[in-house]
Amino acid sequence: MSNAWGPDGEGHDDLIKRLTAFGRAPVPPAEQGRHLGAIATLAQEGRKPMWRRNARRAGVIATLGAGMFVATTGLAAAGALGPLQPVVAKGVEAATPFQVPKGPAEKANNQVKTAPAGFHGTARVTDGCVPATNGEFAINHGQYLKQERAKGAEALAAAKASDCGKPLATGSDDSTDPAATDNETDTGTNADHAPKTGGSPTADDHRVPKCTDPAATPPSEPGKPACTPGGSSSSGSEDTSSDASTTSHGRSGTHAGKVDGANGPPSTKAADQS
Amino acid sequence: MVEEPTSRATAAYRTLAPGVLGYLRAQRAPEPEDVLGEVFLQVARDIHRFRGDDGDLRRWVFSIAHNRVVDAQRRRGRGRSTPHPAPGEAEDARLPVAAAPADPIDPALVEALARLTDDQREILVLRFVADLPIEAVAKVTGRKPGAVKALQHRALDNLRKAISPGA
Repeated sequence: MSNAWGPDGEGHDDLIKRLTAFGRAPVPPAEQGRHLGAIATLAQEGRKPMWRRNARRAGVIATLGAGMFVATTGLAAAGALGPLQPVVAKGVEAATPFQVPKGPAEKANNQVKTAPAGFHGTARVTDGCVPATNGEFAINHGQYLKQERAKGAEALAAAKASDCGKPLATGSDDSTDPAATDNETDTGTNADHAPKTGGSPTADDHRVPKCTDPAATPPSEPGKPACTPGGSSSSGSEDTSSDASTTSHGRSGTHAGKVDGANGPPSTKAADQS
Repeated sequence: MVEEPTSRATAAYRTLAPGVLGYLRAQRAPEPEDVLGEVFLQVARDIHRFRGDDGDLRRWVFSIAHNRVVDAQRRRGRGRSTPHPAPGEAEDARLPVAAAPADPIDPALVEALARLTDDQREILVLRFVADLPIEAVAKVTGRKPGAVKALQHRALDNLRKAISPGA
């Protein structure tokens, strides 16, 4: 390569010649032979196939990969991957011929609950019903509908029309209480619970009962009305709110409110004290 | 026909080794012949990935040598742009073996180069000893071509003063 120094090198030609000559001093022959020999040796090393040069690294990578694969497949087959189970199961089934569980969602979707062996719960209608895949009958009507839904619309319609899975007592008068069966369909596992109509009282039941004629109904406790006219609990609060405000200045009013919180509506008690 | 990497590396050595050795000596690399061998071993290792003409090859080889020198300077704990001590201040003890007066190279020039700053000496050596154009020097050192020109101008002035103080 020829140097064109240009204006930057003007006046320094002698220096530049000395610098250039400095860069052209030959390498000592002994060093040159040593370096060229090292290059040739490196070239021979480089002629080895790639897999032999990187055999150890490739072995480690392959072992790690195989270990990961086996571990993941094993955990997936055992269904021990928790929320990741459906994702990993999909991958494993795509990569291998193995069938692995897809997790709790699959269980819930595919399995129809049947009465376990030795079940002594409410007797259910099974006459004319189709058993589940395991030969047992669905544990309630909701589960029976679920079982038949997979077979098509006609089977589902027939299942809806049937009493299969309903309790023997209520199965016959289905037409009189449709709400009971609807509720049972939604919560199939609660089939053994008592029916709502005769069940335990709910939160609303703690309120003062409705009645049409308070005078005609005797009070159950002294100082407490037997019932409120019109049945609206809010109207009762409105009636006593002004009275309660007058008594709430003293300590007794507060105390009364606390006691009422345990036994009944506070507004009613406050009204009584006033 | 594609040239075999070994023969390409050997040819590169025969062409560029004198310049690289001069560069290493001027940069006061420790044991420059050994560093020269390391530079061309790396060239032989990586030349199969190299694409470019002779000018690119020259710049690539000197980039490797430059990096080796920078590494050696860092190892020695020498900061950049530190002026070298004046001749006679125990400087001869640090001169490379190749710069001994018995060598065929120019000992006065080596001594004058040693008095420049690291940046100035680097530019001069890459520009004239390694015979690289301004643009290549700019790429190797990570500077702009204008900065390389200015640095070269100042370096030549200072080298002139160092070689002939009375001038």
